[in-house]
Amino acid sequence: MNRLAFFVRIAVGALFAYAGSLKVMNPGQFATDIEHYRLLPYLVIEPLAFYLPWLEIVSGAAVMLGPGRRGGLALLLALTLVFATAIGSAMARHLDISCGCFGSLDTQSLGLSLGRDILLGLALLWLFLRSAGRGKDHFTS
Amino acid sequence: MLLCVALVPAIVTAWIQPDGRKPAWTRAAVEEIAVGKAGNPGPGVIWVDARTGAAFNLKHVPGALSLNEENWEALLPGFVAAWRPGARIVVYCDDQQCDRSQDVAARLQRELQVGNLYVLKGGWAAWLGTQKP
Repeated sequence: MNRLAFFVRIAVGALFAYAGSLKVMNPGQFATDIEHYRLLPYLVIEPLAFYLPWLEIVSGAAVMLGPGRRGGLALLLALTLVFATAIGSAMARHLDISCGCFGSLDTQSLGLSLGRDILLGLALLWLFLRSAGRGKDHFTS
Repeated sequence: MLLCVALVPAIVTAWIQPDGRKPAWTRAAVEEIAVGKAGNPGPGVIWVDARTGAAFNLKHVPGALSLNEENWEALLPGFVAAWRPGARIVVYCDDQQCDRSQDVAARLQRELQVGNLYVLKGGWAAWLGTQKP
């Protein structure tokens, strides 16, 4: 079980760090992707477009490397919840948009993106509860 | 802690602007134009209705094109087909309080780099006010 948790932790952390790195060099495109959800005013979207990719990278790195692991897991769990809610809301409004989760590489349907987010959320929740149960990591955000 | 750690490179990225875009908070709002100065819809003046599709279908400025963010991808080709270099673009929404015309105008500016772009002061309500009963 420890080995499984290790691999899941590395995979999830790397996935978020990778997703963040794809968006960090093109904040304009990411801002447009967020804008397509029609949930926030543009003045809020642009600072988010600079900040969220770095939050994914930093949290992903923390989950993989150790210091601040529980904080990283909690942040990624919260981000995944927000992303899944935004995708669900876009689906409910029949918006014809792409998720934007992996920058320009993201071409899959919103339904698949939502499924991926739910799986990621479950994995993160499992890792977080496991880590909370052990109480080994005292670095929290 | 991690929230603060992420803030530092985010500020640096915003300062460097890796994709060369000017952030929205440093951009001025699209200039407003009064109904009397906007000009009538025609080859040299494109009126863009930024209200919802339902509101457009109910009534709109004759000759105006519908372009809103809900159906941006579907409606944009119609705008591109009508646009000619140098044409004046006048975007309107419901009234002075609505933001949709500013949003659509800003997006046209951002994505298509079109110039000669204005937002109708007072929007649809102002235009209606100029029409004879």
